[in-house]
Amino acid sequence: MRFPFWRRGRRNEELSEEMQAHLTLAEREAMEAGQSPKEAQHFARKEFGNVGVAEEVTRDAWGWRRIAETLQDVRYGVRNMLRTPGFTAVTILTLALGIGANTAIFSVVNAVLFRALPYRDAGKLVWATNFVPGQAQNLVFADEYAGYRTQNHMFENIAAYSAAAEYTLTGTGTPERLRGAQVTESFLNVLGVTPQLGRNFLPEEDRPAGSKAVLLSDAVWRANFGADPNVVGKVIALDDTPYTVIGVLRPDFEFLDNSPADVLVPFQLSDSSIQAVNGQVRVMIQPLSVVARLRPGATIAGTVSELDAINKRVIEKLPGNLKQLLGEAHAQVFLLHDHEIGNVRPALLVLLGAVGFVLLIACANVANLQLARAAAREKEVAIRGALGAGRWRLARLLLTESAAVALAGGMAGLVLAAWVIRVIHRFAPANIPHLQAARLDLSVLVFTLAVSLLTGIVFGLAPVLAAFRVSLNNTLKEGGSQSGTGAGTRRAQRVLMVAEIALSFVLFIGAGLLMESFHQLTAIQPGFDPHGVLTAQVALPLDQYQSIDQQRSFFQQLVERLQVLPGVASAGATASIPLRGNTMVSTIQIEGQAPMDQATMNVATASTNAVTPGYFAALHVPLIEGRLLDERDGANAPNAVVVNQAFVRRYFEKEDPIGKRFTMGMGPVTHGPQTWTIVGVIGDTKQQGLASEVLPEATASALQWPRFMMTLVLRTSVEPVSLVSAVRKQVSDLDKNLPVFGVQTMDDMLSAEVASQRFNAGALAGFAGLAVLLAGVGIYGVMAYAVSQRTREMGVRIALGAETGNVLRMILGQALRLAVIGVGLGLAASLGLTWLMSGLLFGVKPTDPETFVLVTGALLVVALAACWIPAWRATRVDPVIALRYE
Amino acid sequence: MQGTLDLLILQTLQWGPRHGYALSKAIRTNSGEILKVDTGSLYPALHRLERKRWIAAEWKASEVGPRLRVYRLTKIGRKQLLSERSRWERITAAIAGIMNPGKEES
Repeated sequence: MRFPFWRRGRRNEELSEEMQAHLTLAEREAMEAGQSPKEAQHFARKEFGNVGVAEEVTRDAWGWRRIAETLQDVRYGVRNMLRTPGFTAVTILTLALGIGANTAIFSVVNAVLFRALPYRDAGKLVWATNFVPGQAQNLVFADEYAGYRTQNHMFENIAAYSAAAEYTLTGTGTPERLRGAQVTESFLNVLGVTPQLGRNFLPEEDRPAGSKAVLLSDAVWRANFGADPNVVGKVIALDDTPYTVIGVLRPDFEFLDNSPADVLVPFQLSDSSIQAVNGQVRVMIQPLSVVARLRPGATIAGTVSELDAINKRVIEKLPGNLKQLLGEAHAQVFLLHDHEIGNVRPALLVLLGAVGFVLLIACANVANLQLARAAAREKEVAIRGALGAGRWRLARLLLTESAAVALAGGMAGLVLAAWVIRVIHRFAPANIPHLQAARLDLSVLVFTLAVSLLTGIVFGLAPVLAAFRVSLNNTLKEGGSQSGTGAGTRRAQRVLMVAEIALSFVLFIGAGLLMESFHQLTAIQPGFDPHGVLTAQVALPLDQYQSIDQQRSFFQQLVERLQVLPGVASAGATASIPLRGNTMVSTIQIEGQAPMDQATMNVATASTNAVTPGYFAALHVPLIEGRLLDERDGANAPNAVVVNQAFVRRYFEKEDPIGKRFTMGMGPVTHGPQTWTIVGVIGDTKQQGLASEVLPEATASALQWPRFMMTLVLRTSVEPVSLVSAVRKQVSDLDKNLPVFGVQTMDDMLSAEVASQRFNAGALAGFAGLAVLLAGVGIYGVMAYAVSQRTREMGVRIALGAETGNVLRMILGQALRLAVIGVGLGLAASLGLTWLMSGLLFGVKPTDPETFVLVTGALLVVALAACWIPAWRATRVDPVIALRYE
Repeated sequence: MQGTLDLLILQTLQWGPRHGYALSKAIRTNSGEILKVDTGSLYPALHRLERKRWIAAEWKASEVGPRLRVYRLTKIGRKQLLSERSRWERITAAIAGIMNPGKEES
């Protein structure tokens, strides 16, 4: 019969019983043969041999030895841990910090980078665009998409979609602003997702002027329609247009570009952007995005060259100025996964590397502690060896102990990680996709377990190697308690200390560079005064405000009303608000200049904007030269623009720009270029974001170039957000169905702009701080131990007349030597590693000398500070006591 | 030789179930006091064979006092004994051949 392991207690008793019976029988037989009871007992025992050994080897036959010994080791390890609670607490805390940081960052990386996108066979999905060098931006438009759709050989299926935009849902209570995207009917098929209710779009719903259909997200269905199971077939009003609900998407549906979409409507693209409207030719370029599913065997490179060929054919047929503008466009194709998470990958990988370093430092610390303890346990190890424990048995004992400690540290680390994840959820920038999915799930737990065990082995190896060197004879012969540390152990401790300093150095450099980037970014002048400015967007429905006169008069009236609100210092409206980067770029032709720069072969271009006259005062955009736009530049006045300094630098290097004229490819009437006269020069504002270069920009008056969607800008003399409801009221007084959206203060916009830099810098600074703390504690520990080991030597030195300063200098000098070696190694490693994070830096080189000098100084100070207390203590050694120790 | 003790145990148990002490005595007597089995080898072997299910054990009360752990041959053990025995015979024949090389040729 076989016994399960957990019944081994009973099995042991039975084994003893069996052995005892053997002895009894032998005894009895010897007595029967005429021996006295005493003789018989003696005889039986002698013949049997060592009962303990027989039991032991029999137990081996059960095949449980490994398990039993491991359990024994664990019990022993735990007992050992409890015997030195302070030491154990420090060890576990150190490990918890290292493992906790790793677990938290891994959970983020796992959720963001390693997670598969929620689409069928997502590895086959690609995202395609065209990069237009002249515009420095990506653009795909309907003609190109139509070409891809009909002429490609690489895609199983292809779809286009628009960036999610704002829609107003009316008829279900108060007007609700929803985010919606236009998608082709192939969109859901390409992604391989199906609605939970209803159906996908039909091809006829996706034709120009087709019937209006809408798919609702699960969230909108629940929030605005009470999860009505009969919602399919209902008609809802979006932007005052009736749409029929044809289905509801699944709860786990995710729209692309990391932007949520509440509703999907058919794109209804025409195959050409060039249309005849009322007898006039209009070019309506609507940027779109392309997502496609690759055919089996299709490659990215093959797709790129095919799309380029199609682009070429399509652009050939465009009118002259567009052909010129788009001629150099080239296709770019990315795996959808890379497109969705590509921009956050470097930051996360740097963070992952950083916490890896923190863990290594924690390991080095714990290894140091274990080494110190191994020295104290040398005798125990030697005795075990003398009693016949094999080398590997000893190694297993020590490693089991480390593993037990590491697991305890891992458990504490999990608690810490749960807290760190909460903090990350709170402070991480909004542009990290899927971050909310970061949590302690199974894969994270497995990771933590693996890291803990690995950690246990890594730091556990140090004492094992030390134990292997233990010479039985010497250790046992030494006798006294003053056996001290072997030279090997001391060397190992120094190596670990140097490693800690080097690792901290690298982390410190990374943090320093990111902080400097953050500093550089926040030091940038946006070109306007963001404090005390409220912004809000209003978009006029084009079916009700068809003529530009209607659009002009609406915003004119609105701004007039806003200007007289109490608390408003000045009010204006602009087509493009700084930092958002949604300017339109147009070709321009400056009178008296060649149409193309012969040196660079570039067409002259400029960002265009249209503002009401109050805009400049509201944002405090400075006037450099000439005059600002004002009431003189009305609808019937000559076309006037102000240009920014970048425009002057680019096009009027040696001339006075005031009074110069140019034509623009775009303008209020699209069928022919118009001539604009420069009346003034304004300061550069950061339209494309703080980190971007300012493009040449021409700003017209919204009275001369009305827009249907504008951002209101209010400089307030009171708290900006206190005016939000007043603004809403003014808008609804003019048109009660018009929602106000995108309400934001300029300060908030600016701080969102630097959020990811702030997060990167903050996170890395936190980890670097942790690393330096751990390294400091580690150095202190090593030095304190080293000094305590040399108490007698110090006593002798002081007794022989060494002065306090001498002793201090000697100890600090030794520590400084190690610190310098560590810093040197760290310096070399940093130079090799920081280029990896160059993509995260702004305005600072990966080899920024200032940062390197500062970090070198700071780390040397930390190292010396950590050595100071032990060194100082060494000077206080009383020679009498020290010598009496022997 | 590895497996020899196993063979001796299996062979002895073929004549009927026995407890450890009886087994060691039987091996000793049957070999004319030449083979003396050390308890430090006997019991591990018994427990190992039991683990392989070649033999089975059972506690039995005895008239002499303590209860005894009695081993008997299982079906698998019987099969194993046959193959072990033929292997043993081949080996002994081979060794005999080496020891007396002349006999085979003549």
